[in-house]
Amino acid sequence: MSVPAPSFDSYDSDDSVAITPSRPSTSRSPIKKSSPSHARVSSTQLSPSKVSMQTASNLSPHLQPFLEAQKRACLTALAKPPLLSSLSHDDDAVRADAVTFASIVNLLEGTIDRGEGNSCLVLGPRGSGKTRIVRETISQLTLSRTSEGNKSSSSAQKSASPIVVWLSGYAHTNDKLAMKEIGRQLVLQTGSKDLGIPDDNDRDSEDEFETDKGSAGLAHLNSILPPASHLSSIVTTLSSLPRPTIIILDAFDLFMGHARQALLYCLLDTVQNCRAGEGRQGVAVIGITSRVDCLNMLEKRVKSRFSHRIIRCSPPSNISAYMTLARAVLKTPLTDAEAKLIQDSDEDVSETSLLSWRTAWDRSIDELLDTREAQRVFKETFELVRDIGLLCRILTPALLELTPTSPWITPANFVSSARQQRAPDRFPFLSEFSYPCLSLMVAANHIHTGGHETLTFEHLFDTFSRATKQSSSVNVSLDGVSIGLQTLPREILFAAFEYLISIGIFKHSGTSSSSTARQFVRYRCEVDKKDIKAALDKKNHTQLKRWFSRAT
Amino acid sequence: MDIKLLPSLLALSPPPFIHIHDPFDQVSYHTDTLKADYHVEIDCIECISPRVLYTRIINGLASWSVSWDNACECWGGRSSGDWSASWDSFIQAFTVLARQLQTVDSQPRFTLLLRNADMLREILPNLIVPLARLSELSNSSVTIIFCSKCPWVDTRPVWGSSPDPLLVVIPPLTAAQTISHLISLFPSPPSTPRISIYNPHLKPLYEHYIQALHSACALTVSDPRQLAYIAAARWPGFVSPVLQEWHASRDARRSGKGPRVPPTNQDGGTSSEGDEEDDDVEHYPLPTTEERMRLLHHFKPSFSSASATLYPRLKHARAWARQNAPPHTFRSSMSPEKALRTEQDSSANTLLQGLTTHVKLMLVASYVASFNPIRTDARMFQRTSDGIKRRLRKGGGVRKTRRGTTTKVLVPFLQLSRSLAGPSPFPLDRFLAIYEALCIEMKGDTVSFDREVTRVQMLTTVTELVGMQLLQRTGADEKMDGSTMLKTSIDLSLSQKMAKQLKLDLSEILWDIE
Repeated sequence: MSVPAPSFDSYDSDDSVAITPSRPSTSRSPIKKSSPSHARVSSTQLSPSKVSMQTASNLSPHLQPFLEAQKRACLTALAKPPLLSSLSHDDDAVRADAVTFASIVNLLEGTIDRGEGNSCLVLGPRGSGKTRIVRETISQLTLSRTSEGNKSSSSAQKSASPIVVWLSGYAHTNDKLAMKEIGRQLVLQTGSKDLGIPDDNDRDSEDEFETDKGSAGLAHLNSILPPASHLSSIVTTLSSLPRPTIIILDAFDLFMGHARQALLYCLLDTVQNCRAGEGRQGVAVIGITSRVDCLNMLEKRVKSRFSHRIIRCSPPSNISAYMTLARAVLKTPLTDAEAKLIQDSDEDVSETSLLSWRTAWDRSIDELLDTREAQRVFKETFELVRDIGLLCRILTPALLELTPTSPWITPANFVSSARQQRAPDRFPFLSEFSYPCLSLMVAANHIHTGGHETLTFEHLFDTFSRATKQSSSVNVSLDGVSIGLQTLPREILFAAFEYLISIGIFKHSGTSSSSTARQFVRYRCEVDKKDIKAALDKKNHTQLKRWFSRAT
Repeated sequence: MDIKLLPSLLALSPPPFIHIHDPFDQVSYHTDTLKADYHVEIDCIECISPRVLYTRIINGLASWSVSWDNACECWGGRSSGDWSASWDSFIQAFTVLARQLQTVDSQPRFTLLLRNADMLREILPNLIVPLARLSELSNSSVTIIFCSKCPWVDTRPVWGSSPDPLLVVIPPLTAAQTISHLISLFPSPPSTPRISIYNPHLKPLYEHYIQALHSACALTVSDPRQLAYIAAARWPGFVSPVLQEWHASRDARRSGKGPRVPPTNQDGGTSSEGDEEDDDVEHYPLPTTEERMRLLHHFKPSFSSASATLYPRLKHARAWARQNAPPHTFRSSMSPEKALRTEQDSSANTLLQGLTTHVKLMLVASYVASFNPIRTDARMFQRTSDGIKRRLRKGGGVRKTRRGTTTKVLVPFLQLSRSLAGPSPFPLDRFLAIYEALCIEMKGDTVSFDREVTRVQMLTTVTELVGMQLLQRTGADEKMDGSTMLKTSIDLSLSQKMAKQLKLDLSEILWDIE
C-alpha cells in the first residue's frame, strides 16, 4: 500500500471517511452490488466510516495488546464452541438443540431421583455435538446435585451425585477390556474395592480417595481394579451401588461388534430389571452413535431389552444458525481479568481504549461476515458438511494470521484458510518437485493415457528414455547445448521413484510377492492429469510441458 | 495452514489433534518451535508393538530414562505394575502422570509428535483412532501431532471414526533458503588447525562452492540433506589444491628451501604440527577470483557425477571422495581435465568375475526362458532332422486373407511388452531344454552329452543359483522336479554382458527385444 494508512484509532474517533483512497479495490466493492437482502444488512450495520476498516492496516500501539488477548479469547472459544441453545437466537435449530438437552436431563433425573432404569440412544451425524451435549448435561446435573447435597447433607440419599462411567468403543475393543474399565472407574468413584456396596457414607470415602490419589497415584495403578472374581458380576451389581450409575457408551455401534453383544445384553438387562425403591439405585445407559441403522444391528434379545428411546442431536439446520455460531465465537469478548491485566501492564491503555477495541473488533467481524466471499465460504461449507468442528478449523488459521500490521481478518485470508482445511490439495507443492520426479509423473501420465492401469519402473524408464531420444533427435541447440529433454541416469530416476513411493504419489497396485524385483513391482499413479499440468505450468519447464502435451 | 503459525497456536490454545503433511521431510527444522513443557517425539517406524509406543510416550513425557542400573524399569518402577499391557492401563498411567505433574495453578500441557504417522496404518492400525482421541479419552490437555510424508487422507482409517485434525503443511525450502542452510552447516569447532578443510577462514570459499554445487545439482536433487551429503563428500577434494599451496608456502617459509608437498589426508584435515608458530592469516591466502573460477570450472563436471553416484548411494561418500580426489600435483592454476566418469553400479562386474562359463550360460538361458513367450520356443530353437537350425523370426505376422489382401496381426492394445512387465516363471524342464539348445548352439552339433551326469550337475547348479538369488523359485514345495517353477532375477544389462562374454548374440535368441 503506497499511502500510509492512518492508525485505526484516529479513524475511529473521526467518523468521516478518512482513508478511502488507500482502500484496496477488492475489499468492499462486491458488497455494493450485492443482493437486496444483503444490501439491507449492509445499510443497517455499516456506516460509511466502516467501509475502510480492513484497510486500516496498522494498529495503533495502544490497541496492540488487545489483539493478542482477543486472539487468545477467540481460540479458546473455538476449542470449545458454545452450544447452539446457549446462543440467544430464535430459531428451529436452537429449539431442537434445547429439546435434546431437556430430554436427556429428564431421563437422567428419572434415574437419579426416582431410581429408574433408563436406556437411550443419542443419535446424530459427526460433529453435531452429541458427546458434548451429554457431557454438559451430566456436569450440570452433578453440579446441581452437589450444591443441593451441600445444602441438605442429611437428605443426601436422594440427591446423590451419580457415578458416571465413560466407555468408548474405540478404546475398549472387547468386552473384557470394557468390564475392566467399568470396574476401574467404579473403584475410583466409589473409593473402595468392594465398590462401597454395603457402605452408606460413600461420599466421605470418595473425598478421602480423591485427596489420596494425588500423592500416591502410582501405587494406585495396581490397586484400582476390583478383584477378578468381582469383575464378572460387576454389571449386575450396578443397581445395588450406593449411588445411581450412568453408563455412557461412546461409539455405541462398535460395542455391537463384540462377541454375542454380551456386554450390551448385560447392561440393558440390568437396566430393565432395575426396580425403583427397595433401597436400590437407578441405572442409565446412554449410547452415543452416528450410525442410523444402529438398532437393526442389535440382536433380538438385546433389542427387546432396549427402551428404543432415541434422542436426536442435529447440527445447525440452516445457514443463519451456522453463521450465528461463527459470529458468536469470533466476537467472544475479552474477559475482565484479561482486560485488567492489559490495563495494568500498560499505562497508556485506558478504559476507553478497551471500548474502542471492542467496537472496532466487532465491526471488523461484522464486515468480514457480510462480504460476499465469506458468505460464499459459509454457504459452501454448510452445504458440504454441517460439522461445527470444520467451521472451527477454518476460523483457526484465519485468526492466527493476524498481526499488529494486519489486525483484521480479510476475506482473502478466510477463503484461503477455508480451502486448505476443507478440501486441501492432496499433493501440494507439486511444482516444487525436482526434474526427475516431474518426469516420472509425466511418464506415468503417458502410460495411463496409453491404456495401462498399472505401471512398473521399467515401463516408466522406457517411456522416459524414448522421450529423451525423440527429443534429442530433433537437432535443435542453443549456444551449443541441446535444448531437448535432459537425460538422466537410471539410478537417479530410481531414487526419485522411491521418493515418490514414500510420499504416496505412487501406490502399490495389485498383488506382488516379495520375490518380484523392485523395478517390476506394479504401481499406480495417484496424481491427476490436471494437477500435473498445473504443476508444469507453474514450474514453466518448456521441455516437460511439450512432452506432456505430446501424444505418444 | 502454514507451519509457521503452529507455535503461536500451541502457545495460545493447543488443539487436541493436528496433522502435519510434510512431503519434503523438513519437520526436523521446525521441531524446536513446537515443543511444549512436556514434549515427546516418537518415530512410528520404531513402534513395532503397542507396548513400545506406550512406554515411549510415558517415559518421554515423564523424562524418565531407562538404564541398566535400574534394571531397565519403565516409569513408576515395579510398584506401578505393568501399565504398558493395554490401552486402558496406558491411559491410567497417563492420567496418573498428568496428576503428578499438575501444579497448583495449572494443568500440565503435553505435546506428542508422532513422526512417520502413516506407518501406524500398517503397524498399529487399531491405535490410530484412540491416539487421535487421546485428549478426549484421557481427559487431559494433550496435543497429538501426526507428522507424515503422506496426506491425511492416506493415513486416516477408512471408516469415518477418527476426528478430523487441523491440517498443516510444510512448504519446501526455496533455493536461497537451501543455499543458506547448506552454508550454515559449515562446522565451526572452537579450535581447528590452521591447515584443515573446515578452517573458518575457508568459509567464503565454501559459500562459492555451495552456490556452484547447488546450481549444478539442483535440477536433479533438491533435498537439502542429499545436497549436504554430496557437498561434504566433494569438499575435501575441492579444497585440497588450496591446502596444498598453503602447505607448500608454509614449508618454504620454514625451511627456506623449495616447496615440498606433504601427503594430505582427504578425510578431514591435514597434519597440524607447528601451526602455532605462524598463525598469521596473511600466510594463508584464499584463492583469488580467477583461481576460484578455475577451481570451480575444474570441479564442475565432478559435481554432477557426484550427484549421480552419491544420491542413489551407489558408493559410500568417503570411498567416492578418495577415488575422485584430485592428484597431489594439481594446482588451481592448471587447466581443467576431462569430466569424471559417473560411477556405475560395480556389483555386476564383481559378480561376473566369479561365475563359470557353464553358470553364465545357465543364467542367460534363464533370462531367455523368463522373457520369451512359451509359444515362441519352437520358432527360436527348432532344428530340422539334419540338425540345421530353422529360425522363424517374428515379423511374419502378416497373413493372407481369403481375398488375397493382407492384414497385419495387431498386438493386443493393453498388453505390456514382456521386458517391461517383468520376468515370468517357467518350469524347470523348459529351462533345461533351452539351456541344452543354447549349449548346442554355442559348441556346435558335435558335443555329446552324458545326459544323466549333466542333469545331476545342472540341478545342483540350479539349487546353488537359487541360493545366490540369481534364480528364484516361485513354488512353495521343496522337491525339485521338472515342474518346479523358476524365475530369473538378473536384468537385461547383466544378461547382455554375460552373453557378450559367451560370444552369444542375445538379440538373436530373445523374442521381444527393442
